[in-house]
Amino acid sequence: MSRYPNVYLPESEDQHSPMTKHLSLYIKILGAHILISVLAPQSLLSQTYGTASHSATVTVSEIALLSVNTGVTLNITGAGTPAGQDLMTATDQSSTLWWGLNGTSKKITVNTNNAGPFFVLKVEALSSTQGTPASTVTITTAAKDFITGLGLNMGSCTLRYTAEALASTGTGSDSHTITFTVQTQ
Amino acid sequence: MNSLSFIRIAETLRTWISICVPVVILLSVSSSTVFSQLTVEATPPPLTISTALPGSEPTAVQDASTRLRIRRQAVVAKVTVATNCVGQKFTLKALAVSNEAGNPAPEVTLVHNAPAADFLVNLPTTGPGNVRTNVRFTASATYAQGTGIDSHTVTYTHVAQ
Repeated sequence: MSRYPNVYLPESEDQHSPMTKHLSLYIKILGAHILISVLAPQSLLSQTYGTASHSATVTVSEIALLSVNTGVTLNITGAGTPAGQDLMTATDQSSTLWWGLNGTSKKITVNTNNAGPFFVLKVEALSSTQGTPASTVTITTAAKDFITGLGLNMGSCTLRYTAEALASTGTGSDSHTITFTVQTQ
Repeated sequence: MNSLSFIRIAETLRTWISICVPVVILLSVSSSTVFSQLTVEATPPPLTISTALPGSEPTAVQDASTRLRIRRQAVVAKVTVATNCVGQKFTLKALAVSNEAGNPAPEVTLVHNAPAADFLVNLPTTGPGNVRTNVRFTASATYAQGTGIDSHTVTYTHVAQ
């Protein structure tokens, strides 16, 4: 006997109303869908067929690029030198020095292979796009700072060479191999 | 057959469909694990940047030896690409080349944790069971970025388009 005499309670499932059965079915379907949503991989839900991976390594080594575009010939003729003056000069600024440096705290030095030149050879960096150029450098076999404060950049400058000769030195010819070198400051 | 019986049969059918369809899908996913839908057949060598030309940034390097095998699907599909590279410093780009089917997407710049980008699209439903494509990687750097090593994990995903 029911505690609620006004409420009809079926004695078997066959006696459930169609509405109750539909409700029960929808709850089952909803439950199944929730279960699938939780258990199924995300890839299934987004129609992903597969994934694959591999490693890829990018290595950047230290680069210290220096380049000059042309050789230089300086002829000291004495033309234009005032009468009575012993010092004669010739200049050239037709060559350019480029650099590219991905290291830090770098400088460029300059030296020559000529250990006993007759004449003086000097070089100066003009219009340097990066760094701090030294003042005019007299080129010797000992490396001397040419541009400092470089690194993590590329740039260029015009090279102005000045050859000096004393009339009292006489004539002759010097051959130089000028070497620019990147060094750590 | 009365209407109540018809309703009960229909309900039973719906129940079975709601259960069987997901099971079939799950089984197909399991089979896709066995018959891989996307495979990396060849991996790239290390990309090393070590040279430069006067007046230019370091010379970029390329490699196109990486090869993917993509299984044909019943619907038009595509492959996307993404990378994971914590502390990435340098630029790495990927482009599908020598693809047997589909259309290469524009070259993708791989950025750490960026959303996956289209790599190869319009993979057809007809034709050979597998499609192969090569991946051309281009690595580049600037002087200002200095030196170092980027270690990428490049992930390709095969999805319905």
